[in-house]
Amino acid sequence: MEQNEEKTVVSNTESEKDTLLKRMKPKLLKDILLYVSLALVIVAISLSAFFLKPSSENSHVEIKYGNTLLYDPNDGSKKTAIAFPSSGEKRITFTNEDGSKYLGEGNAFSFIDGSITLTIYSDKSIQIKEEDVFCQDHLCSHMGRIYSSYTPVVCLPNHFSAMIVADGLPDYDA
Amino acid sequence: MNTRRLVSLSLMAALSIALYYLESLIPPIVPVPGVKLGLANLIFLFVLYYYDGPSYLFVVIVKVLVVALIGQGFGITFLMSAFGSLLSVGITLLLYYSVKPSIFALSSASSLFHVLGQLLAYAIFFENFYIYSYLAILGPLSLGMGALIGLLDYFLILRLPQSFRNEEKKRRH
Repeated sequence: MEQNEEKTVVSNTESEKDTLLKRMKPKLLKDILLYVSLALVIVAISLSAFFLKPSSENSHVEIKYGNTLLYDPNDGSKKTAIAFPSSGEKRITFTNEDGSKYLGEGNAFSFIDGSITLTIYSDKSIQIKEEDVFCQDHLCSHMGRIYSSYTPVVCLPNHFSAMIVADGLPDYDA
Repeated sequence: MNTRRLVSLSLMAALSIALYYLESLIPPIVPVPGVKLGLANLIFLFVLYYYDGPSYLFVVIVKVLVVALIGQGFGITFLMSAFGSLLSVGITLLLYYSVKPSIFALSSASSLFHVLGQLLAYAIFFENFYIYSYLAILGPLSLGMGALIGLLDYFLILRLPQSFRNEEKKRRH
């Protein structure tokens, strides 16, 4: 009697172990299908995140001398948020004599001999193409055309920088 | 549920919380708060395969709540882990009862949907969906880590001693 009970106990536990192991074992077809579908989910979501980037947000150009925002002299209102032209391009030139317009009476730009011209294109890009200041590297005009926001074109010895920034501030909570 | 089951599940939940704190000591790979190696998934899947679905749900809920209560919780980290666990539990139970994959694929699926839930919480909190570009890195990492955790679970269940087998037979009848 004891032996019979032991035998049934052993066979029952063997069958229990089998169901647990059977549920857990790698099943090739189902596993591969599941992994492929998971990979497709990853690819779909990350691609949609990459291609829904903020190219349609509104942005404007900010030009700075030191820490002072400069405005467009051709524009009537002295807005420091300079808009892109709707077609063609817009050139803004800054020379030493203009300093009093932007910085207040009595101050002047301290460009080392010359002027800097910022070109603003209608496809939301900026470039410094023409400048004749005296400097070592002329890095600003060699930088080329900037399409992406928050990448500044800088003339460091002359404290000049221009950047495409987005409209409005991001609102994080306190 | 009877007391015996309650005690066993509480032990499992305590183990999962301990594993969570162990993995919080590892420095973060990605600069997103709350994204971690999913070591606690080891315990959850073991509970799912050894017991049943409602026990798995119980252990997950206990772990999420206790980690939030003990740690800095109920801020963005709690939201991310709550959303992640929600999606992960949902997809795991769905797959376990319908498709019945092996433990490797189930672990990878639950890990991936945990990451998706966390990123969803982050995206809702900061009101943009740009965080999902992290999925290109986190997705394959989560699949790989899920496969590893599944492998560990496989060896764990394979090497359960005979006494546990007896208890399982008693429990099921």
